[in-house]
Amino acid sequence: MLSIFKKKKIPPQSEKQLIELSKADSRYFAPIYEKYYEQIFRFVYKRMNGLDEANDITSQVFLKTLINLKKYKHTGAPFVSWVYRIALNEVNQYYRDKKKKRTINIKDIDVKSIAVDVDVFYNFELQDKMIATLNELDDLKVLLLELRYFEKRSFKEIASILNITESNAKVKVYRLLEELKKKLT
Amino acid sequence: MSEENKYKINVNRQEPSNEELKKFKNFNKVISKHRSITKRPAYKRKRTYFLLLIILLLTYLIFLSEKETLKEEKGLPQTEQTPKIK
Repeated sequence: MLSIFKKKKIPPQSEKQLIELSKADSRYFAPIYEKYYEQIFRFVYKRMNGLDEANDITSQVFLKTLINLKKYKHTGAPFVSWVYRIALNEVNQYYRDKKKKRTINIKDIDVKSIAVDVDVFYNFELQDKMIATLNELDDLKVLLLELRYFEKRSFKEIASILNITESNAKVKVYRLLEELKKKLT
Repeated sequence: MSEENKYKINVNRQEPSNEELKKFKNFNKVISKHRSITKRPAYKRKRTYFLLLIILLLTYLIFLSEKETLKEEKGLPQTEQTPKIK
């Protein structure tokens, strides 16, 4: 009977164990939060306009992660990919609710790396062209560019975040590069 | 940016520092929100049934002891201290 009041304290070792324990007691989620907070915040911030908005959404992402943790099943993909998917949904939901324009944050160096891959000479004009081209792309294509070029993620990571196969991620990115080449030249 | 633009594009925006991020980190806020959302109603908690069982058990024990006292009082021979029943 006393076991109802006293919860056994097992020192968890792996992330998998922590996830399983967090399903019953959310306090065990603290090390996972500590581990992924920064990368999730930066991921959200890249898609937002301000720090406060990014902070609100990041909190919401971890809250949703905790709420849906019971539904999570280990499929071999890293746990953080699942959290990234929740983050993407939260960002999309934010823009739908607020009816605002989605924010894209780019750097010169990112445009340069795209220019190298599409075999186009980089100059300041290209940056303006790139901004104009981005405005013509749909959300999924922008997301692919962000993941691959603005965040420098591997195809494996892109695949696990988008819940597609690695080869499918490669095909989508190469098709997008072809489209960009046509538009930038 | 003109009104026709689909996205708001920022170029070379400064990234927040790790110190700035630390200011925002607050696990207690997340956990308290989670608790308020997922709090189980009393009828779904094991503890409620356990307490109910204890209360019932105590009531039964009190009832039994009262019954025993009454029996003892009835069975006792009347002494000077005990009031005479007319």
